[in-house]
Amino acid sequence: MPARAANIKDALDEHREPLYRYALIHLRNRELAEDLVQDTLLSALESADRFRGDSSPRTWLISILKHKIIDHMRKAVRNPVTNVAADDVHDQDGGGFFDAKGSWGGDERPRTWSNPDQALEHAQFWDVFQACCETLSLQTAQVFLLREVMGFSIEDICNDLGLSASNCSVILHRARLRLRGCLERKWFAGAR
Amino acid sequence: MLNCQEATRLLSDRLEQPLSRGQRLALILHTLMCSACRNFGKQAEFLRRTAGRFADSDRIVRSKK
Repeated sequence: MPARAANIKDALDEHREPLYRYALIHLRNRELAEDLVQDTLLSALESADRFRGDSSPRTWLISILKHKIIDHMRKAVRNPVTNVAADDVHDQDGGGFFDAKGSWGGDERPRTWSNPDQALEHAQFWDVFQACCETLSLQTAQVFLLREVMGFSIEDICNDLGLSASNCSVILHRARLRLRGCLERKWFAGAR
Repeated sequence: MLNCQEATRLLSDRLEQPLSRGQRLALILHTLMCSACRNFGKQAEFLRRTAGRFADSDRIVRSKK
């Protein structure tokens, strides 16, 4: 292997693990996540001459991986065999967060978090974040992560996943309620 | 008067699209009196900041060691 190609390969290997984490949180399937990361690194090597360095290598790799993940999801939605049935989304009941009057149920009432942004500097916090995402149903997690991690517009996400706009907002609301509760119980309540 | 379920729905929707004047007013009146919903609003924004940095989480962690 020519020296330049070897350098590029080493540089890419450094990103393998973070790319895998990124793929896994979206797909929840180790084998599939591994495959898409391999594809991403291969595509990157093949088109390394087109990488001009105006973005960081990480940003460039993530953008390749994003396309591969969203392509996979679009195919899965079109394929009725792998398409998971839509969550039963009703906004009538409180979903376990609220009582019959729409007030916070006792344990769910959000407390004040002190210096939440400091948490981002702890590796364990990110493990908790990932674990909390896994407590969401696959569809709820997909909507939340496509919106907040990948940054797609809510309109695009609804179209791609075949959901109505109001279903999408209900799903995001639920995702935010569940994730903040999970982070509070597993991280912020422990006064770190 | 909004209840907490309705207020948090608006606090969530607010991250996706601008609310109407009536919705904004109702939300202000509710959150003035309800610290739990104020916390929810801040935490929903925190979730957005956090998720947006997930791809770079290994570097954020490393840069602080």
